[in-house]
Amino acid sequence: MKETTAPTHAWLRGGRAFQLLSYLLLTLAAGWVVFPFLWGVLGAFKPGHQILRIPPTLIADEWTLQNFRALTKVFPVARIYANSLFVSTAATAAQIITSAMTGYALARFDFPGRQTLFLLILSTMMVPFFVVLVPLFVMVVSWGWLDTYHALIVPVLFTPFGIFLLRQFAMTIPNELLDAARIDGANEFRIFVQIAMPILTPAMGALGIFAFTGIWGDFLWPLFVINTGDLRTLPVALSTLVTVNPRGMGAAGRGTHQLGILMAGDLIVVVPVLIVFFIFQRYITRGVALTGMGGH
Amino acid sequence: MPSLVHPAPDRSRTMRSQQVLTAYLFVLPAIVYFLIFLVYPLVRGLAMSLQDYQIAAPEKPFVGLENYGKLLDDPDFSSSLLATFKFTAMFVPAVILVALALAVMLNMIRRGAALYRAIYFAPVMTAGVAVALIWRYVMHPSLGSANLVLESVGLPPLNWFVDAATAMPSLVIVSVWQSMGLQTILFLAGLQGIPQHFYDAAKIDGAGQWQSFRYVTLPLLQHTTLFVTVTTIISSFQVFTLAFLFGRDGGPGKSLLVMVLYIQHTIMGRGNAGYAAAMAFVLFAIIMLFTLAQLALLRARWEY
Repeated sequence: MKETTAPTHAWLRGGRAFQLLSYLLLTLAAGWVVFPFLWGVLGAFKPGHQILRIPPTLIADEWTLQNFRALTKVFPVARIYANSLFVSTAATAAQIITSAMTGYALARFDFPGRQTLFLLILSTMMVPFFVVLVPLFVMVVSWGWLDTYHALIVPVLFTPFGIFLLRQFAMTIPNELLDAARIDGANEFRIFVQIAMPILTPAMGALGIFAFTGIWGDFLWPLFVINTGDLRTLPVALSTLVTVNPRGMGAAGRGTHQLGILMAGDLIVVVPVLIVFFIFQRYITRGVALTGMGGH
Repeated sequence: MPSLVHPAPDRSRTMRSQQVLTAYLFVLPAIVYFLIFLVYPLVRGLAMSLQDYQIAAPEKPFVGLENYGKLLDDPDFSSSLLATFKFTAMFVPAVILVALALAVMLNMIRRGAALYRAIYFAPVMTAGVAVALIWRYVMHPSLGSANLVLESVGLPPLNWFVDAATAMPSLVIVSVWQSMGLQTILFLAGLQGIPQHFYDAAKIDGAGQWQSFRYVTLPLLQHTTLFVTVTTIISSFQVFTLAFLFGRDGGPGKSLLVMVLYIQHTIMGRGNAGYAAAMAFVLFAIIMLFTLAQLALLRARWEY
């Protein structure tokens, strides 16, 4: 699908002054977004004393990897990165498949209880996570799942948001296409895999990115269920680096040294997600517009 | 199946029953999942909120509404309720105004809208931990660049997250920064859905720029606005990650002790799951009330 630009009248776009003012304000807002990102990411390559320089600079005088080396001494970066990757990938793959199956069935099959089930799933989107957080935590404890991958993955194998998204997409598949395959004698499972899935791919892609970034950055649940060092996910490991008191960071010495480490940690969390986002951002923004929701 | 033209009757019946069977096979895992991980925890949570449920204790006696009663006398609970309302009262109008302005301008410019849109959305995709780490230093009282910006426009420096008075507004600023891309995209979709002929008519009637915005765009955008408002309020009541990272123990004067943070303290600090569950249900009830009130408002104003 081609990206539609705003079908707005030339008259509505206003005069040159209006356009200029819009560009000015939009660029200011973009600068507000971009500057902290750039400062944080580029700071990872600076020696500590250069980071908090006044006035702040973006580009390092001398580039260094010392912050990354120091980070590996604070926690086992490779292991923790692998944890985050594994958990996010496994849960994302599961969410894509379960959402496609459930969403497709809700959209394309006529079965007793369909409407009730759809309304039920919609209403589960209204239940905030913190409501089930406490009992879920107690359940996980009683199952002996504390400090296991199960605790991180199993509770997020399904997502009502994903089911809703895929259902909306599956509604647009032409009936004739499915019926033609049925006349040809294809069974329902084959029709789903060979005809529906290819059509649902963009929606599955959008969901995949939402799911991945959501689980990758999730903080509340991993904070509850993972206590031991080696199984922590990246956000939880990084949060332990933050000093509790913002005044506790001196102008020199340990404080600024730690700041460089933080920025190195920041970079390894942020950059992979941003790269994926900028490659696929068209699908993502369309998914948001279609469902009215972000992934979190 | 209405679109089947003339199938043999027995074949059609087999196909239909095959479809029903496949449908149940497809939705069964989801049903099982939602029963175990949503319906059961909801019931269990409600039961826990009626128990003296200490995670470490072997006995979990039934205590009726005692946990809810204790909430009324708990100063930390009332201050966390207040902090959550304060956050919502500042965050929701701020992010909606910023996003609406950005969306209107994005809808107006000739080129580059996709790039700006992607930039604004990038923080939405970014882990809260990473956002907090950066802003912690940007808003550092003596070393951060936020105060340099204030100084350069002649304003006095602030103590941001260090002072009780400015901690919450600071949290709001960072939250707007992280979230505005989402609301912007929703408003932009709403703006692009307004049919052109409304503007044509307005122009023929002699409306200017401002008038067509005020009397065409805004009224036609009210569904989007209400939808964005409802979803933003729901999510702002649940603020946690940034509050935790900027004020792990509640921040200066407990000004950042929002409800979900207090729930987290109660269960992880004190192991009191019954009390935490009671709090969660009170907050849930508040969110439901707000949502229902807004849905009623939405229905009452359904004009287009």
